[in-house]
Amino acid sequence: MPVEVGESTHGVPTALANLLVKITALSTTPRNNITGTASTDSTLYGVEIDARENPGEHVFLRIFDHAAPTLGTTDAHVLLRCLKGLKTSWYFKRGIPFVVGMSVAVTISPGATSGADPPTGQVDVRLAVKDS
Amino acid sequence: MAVAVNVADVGLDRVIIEVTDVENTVDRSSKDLRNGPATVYSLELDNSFVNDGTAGTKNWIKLYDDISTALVAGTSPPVFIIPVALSLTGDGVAEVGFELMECPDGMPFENGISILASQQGGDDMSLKPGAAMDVRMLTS
Repeated sequence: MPVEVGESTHGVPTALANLLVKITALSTTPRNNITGTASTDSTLYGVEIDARENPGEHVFLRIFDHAAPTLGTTDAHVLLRCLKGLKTSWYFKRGIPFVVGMSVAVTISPGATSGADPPTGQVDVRLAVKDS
Repeated sequence: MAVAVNVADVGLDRVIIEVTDVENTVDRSSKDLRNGPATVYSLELDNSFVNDGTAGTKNWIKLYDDISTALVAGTSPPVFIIPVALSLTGDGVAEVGFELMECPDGMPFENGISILASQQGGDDMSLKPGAAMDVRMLTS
């Protein structure tokens, strides 16, 4: 049964991951602890960035191994770029471990910490996660 | 720096590029891997004990859409950052430190592909990987 956490929805998408986190209109304000709990191990298996409603500029999804990151200061653990106006998916077959907490934000600046400008259009993100 | 780039044409306009011993400094072998704009469909990140024979460190692979002389390790912002677990030794853990990343939609690089690796996350490139960090990528 889906569980609402802010604008995130948790479900059971696959046999591997036990959470599907859907975040609509993600921007530069980090969504903290998207698995619902801090300080627990989790593993990231899949990411989809939907920037079809954001034709103006490329977007960068920063995924932090941090319970309460500060955009522009906290290093991103994972950084993914999605070109403007496109939807792109990635799959990590072994999974990327997170040990402190999984938090996310999106910006139009590359790099792990540089810039904090938000996209002009809507960007939606889905993440397939195994939460221990 | 001992970086070797091996290229294999696998047909259908797809080319596998292998970069061995990716390090934390820019040189000709880490820059412009496809000689211009390209798209990456998958990445095999090999930090395993099987690959190198020594226990390594946790590393981060960083990809840059920059092939210019302005590309500077630790200063230029990467467009992709992917962590790779440290290798371990012993029975049953030989494949730890290996990641396969797939992107069926493709990851376009408008200028070209450059690659570096470091023990640090973020933009920091001050420590090179503790053991050989090899990367193979399927590109067009």
